[in-house]
Amino acid sequence: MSASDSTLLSFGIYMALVFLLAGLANVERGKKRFLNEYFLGSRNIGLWAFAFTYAATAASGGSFMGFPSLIYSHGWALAWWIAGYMVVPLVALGLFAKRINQVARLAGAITVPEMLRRRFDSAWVGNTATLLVIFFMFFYLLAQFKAGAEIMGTLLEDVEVYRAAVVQVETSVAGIPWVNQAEGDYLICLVVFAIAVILYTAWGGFRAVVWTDVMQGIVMGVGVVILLVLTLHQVGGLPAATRAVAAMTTPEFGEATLMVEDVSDENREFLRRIWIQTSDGGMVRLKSTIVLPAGQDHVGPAEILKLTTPSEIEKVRPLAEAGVMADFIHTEPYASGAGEEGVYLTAPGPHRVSPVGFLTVGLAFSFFAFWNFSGAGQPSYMVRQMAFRDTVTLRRSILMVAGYFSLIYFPLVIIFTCARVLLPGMEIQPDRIMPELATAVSTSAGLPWLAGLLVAAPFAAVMSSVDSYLLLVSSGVVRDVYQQSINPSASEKTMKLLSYTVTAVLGILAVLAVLNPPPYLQTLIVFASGGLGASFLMPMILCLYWPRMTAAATVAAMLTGTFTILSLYLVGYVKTGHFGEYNLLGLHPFIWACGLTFLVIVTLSWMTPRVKTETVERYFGR
Amino acid sequence: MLLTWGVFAAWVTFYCSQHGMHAEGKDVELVLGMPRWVVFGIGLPWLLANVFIAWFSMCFMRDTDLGAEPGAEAAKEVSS
Repeated sequence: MSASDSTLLSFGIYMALVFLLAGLANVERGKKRFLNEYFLGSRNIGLWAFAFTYAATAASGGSFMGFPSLIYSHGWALAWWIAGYMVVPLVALGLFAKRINQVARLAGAITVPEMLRRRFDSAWVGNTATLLVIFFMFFYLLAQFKAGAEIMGTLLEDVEVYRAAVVQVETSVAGIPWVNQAEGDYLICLVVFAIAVILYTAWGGFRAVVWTDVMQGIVMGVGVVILLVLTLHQVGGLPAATRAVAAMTTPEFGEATLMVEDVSDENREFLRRIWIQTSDGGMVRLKSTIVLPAGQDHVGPAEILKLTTPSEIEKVRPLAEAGVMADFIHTEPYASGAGEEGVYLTAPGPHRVSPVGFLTVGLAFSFFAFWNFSGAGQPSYMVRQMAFRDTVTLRRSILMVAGYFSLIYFPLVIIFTCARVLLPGMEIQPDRIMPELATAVSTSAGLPWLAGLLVAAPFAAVMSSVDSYLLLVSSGVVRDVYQQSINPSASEKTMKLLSYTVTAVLGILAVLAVLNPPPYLQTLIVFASGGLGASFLMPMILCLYWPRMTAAATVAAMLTGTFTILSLYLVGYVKTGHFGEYNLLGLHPFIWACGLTFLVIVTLSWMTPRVKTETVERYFGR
Repeated sequence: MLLTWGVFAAWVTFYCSQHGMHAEGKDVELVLGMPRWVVFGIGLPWLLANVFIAWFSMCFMRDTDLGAEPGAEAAKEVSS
C-alpha cells in the first residue's frame, strides 16, 4: 500500500466514525421533542460532552489552519497574540454560564435570540439578534469551508484518481461563470467537504455535533501531541530550531521570467509551489501555476517568492526544477523586519505590508481582551452554556477546558516556529502549513499512515466548528424566524423538514460564496467573532444581571456593536485596499464596540420604557 | 474573574512589552529552548493561571440549582 493510500485509509476510518456517531445520535433522538433535542440535546449535556464540545467549537479551523499560518509567517510574537487563552475558560465560562443556563431554562429558550426575545418580551430584540447571528456566522462558515477544502487538498494531492478528476473538473467548469474562478483541486475538495459535513449535521443534529466534538476534541489533542514530538525530533530539539529561526530573514514576494534550456513543441506547465533556481544562485518558489507555450523559451511574469536566508536556500536547492531558470527578478522586501536576523524571535514580528510589524503592544493587549470577552460573547458558545446538565458539570468543565487549551495553543506555537526550519517558503500558501507539516513529518518518520490521523486533527477542528455554526444559523431561521414569526403552529414534520432544508441550503450558499476566498483564514474568523462579540457580549451580560435594561436599549446596542465593527473594517479596507480591521489608537475594533455598546445600553435604558414588571420578576424574582 | 483577567493581562502585557518588543532577536537569551521573554511573559503566567483555575473551579465556585426544565412555552412543541 502506498503512502498516500495509507493516509487516505486512516482518514477514511475517521470519517466513518463521524458518520457512525451521527447515526447513533439520530437513533437517540427517537421520540424526543424534535426542536429541543435537535438544537439543544434536550439540555442534558454531561461533563465530557460539554467540555469537549465547548473546547472543540472554540478550536476551529482558525486554531488549526489560520493560527499556524500566522505563527509560521510572524514567529514567536504569536505566543503573545494567543496568550489571552490562559484565562479564557475562567472568563468565558465563569462569567455567565451559570446564569445564562438558568435564564434559558426559565424562558424555555433553545436559541440565543429566543432567550433575548423572551427576556424582554420583544419580537424586535429576537429578530435583530437572529439577523446578526445569521450575518456574522455566515462569514465564519466561509472561513471553515475554505479550511476544510485546503486540508482535503493536501491529503489527496498524490492520489491518482483525484489528480485525474481535477483535470476533468477544470475542463468541465471552464465555461461556468463564478465557479470557474476556483481551481479544480480546491473545487472538488470544497464540494466533498461540504456534502460530508452537511449530511452528518442534518442527520444527527445537536447531539451528533456534541458527540463528534468529543471525538474530534480527542483527535485534536492527540494529534497536537504527536505532531509536537515528531517535529521536535526532526528539527534536532527546540534549542537548535530556535537558533536556526534566529538566523532567518524574511523572504521577498515579486515576479520573475522563467527561462528554459530546451524549447519544446508542446506546452509546458510549471506548477504552483515548485522551486526554481535563479541566475545568481538563489532560489524562488512559484506562487501560481504558469504555462510556457509551445515553441517559446521563456514565459512571464510569474509570481514568485524569493528566499533570502542562506540555510533555507541550501535546503531547497536539491528540489529545484530541472531545465528552467528564473531571471529578471523584481521583488519587494517586507515593510517591517526585512533583512533583520532574529526578527522571528521577538515582537512585533515581521510584516509584509505594515511598517509597524505584526503585533504592537496595543494590539497584543486588545487580543488578550478579545479572546476572553469576544469568546464569552459568541452565540455558538452561549448555546452550549444553555445545554449543560448542572453546575458540577460546569465547574469540572472549566478545569478540563483550561487544561485542554494549554495542551493545544502553546504547543502549536512551538510546532509552527519549528516548521519554518523544516518547510521553507510556505509563505506562498501559509494556510496549508498545518496539513503540509503533518504529511512531511509523518512521512519522514516512516509512518505515512500517521499523516491521516494528524491531518484529521485540523479537519476535526474545522468540522466541529462548521457543524456547530450550521446548526446555530439553521436554528435561527427555523426556530426564531419561521416558528416565532411566521408559523407558530407549525407541525413537527414541517419543522423537521425545514431544519434539514435550511442546513443544506446554508451549506450550498457557503460553498458558492467561498469559491474565491481571501488569502488569510484568520482575517475572516477575527471579523466574524469580533462582530458577534461586539453585538452580543454587553447586551447579554447586562440582560442577565441588570433588571432595568430595556428592549430598545438592547436593539440599539446590538446594532451599535455591528456598525462599529463594520465601520472600522471599512476604514481598514479604504486605507490598505485589503479586507482587514482598522485599529484606532492601536486597539482592535472589538474593544471600541464593547465600550460603545455599554454606553448605549446604560443611557438608553434610563431613557426608554421599562420592561413589564411580571417579565422582570420572572427572571430576577421580587 | 475580571480581577483575575486584569492581573494576568497586566503581567503579560507589561513583561512582554519590556522584554519581548524590538529586542535584539538574534541574541535573544533562550530558556528551555524558547526566547526568555516567552517563558517568563507567557509560559509562567499560563501555568499559574491553570493552578488558579483549578482552585477556583474546584474549591471556590459554589453549586447552584439551575431550575426546572423549560416549562409550558417550550412544551408547545408537539411530542410525537
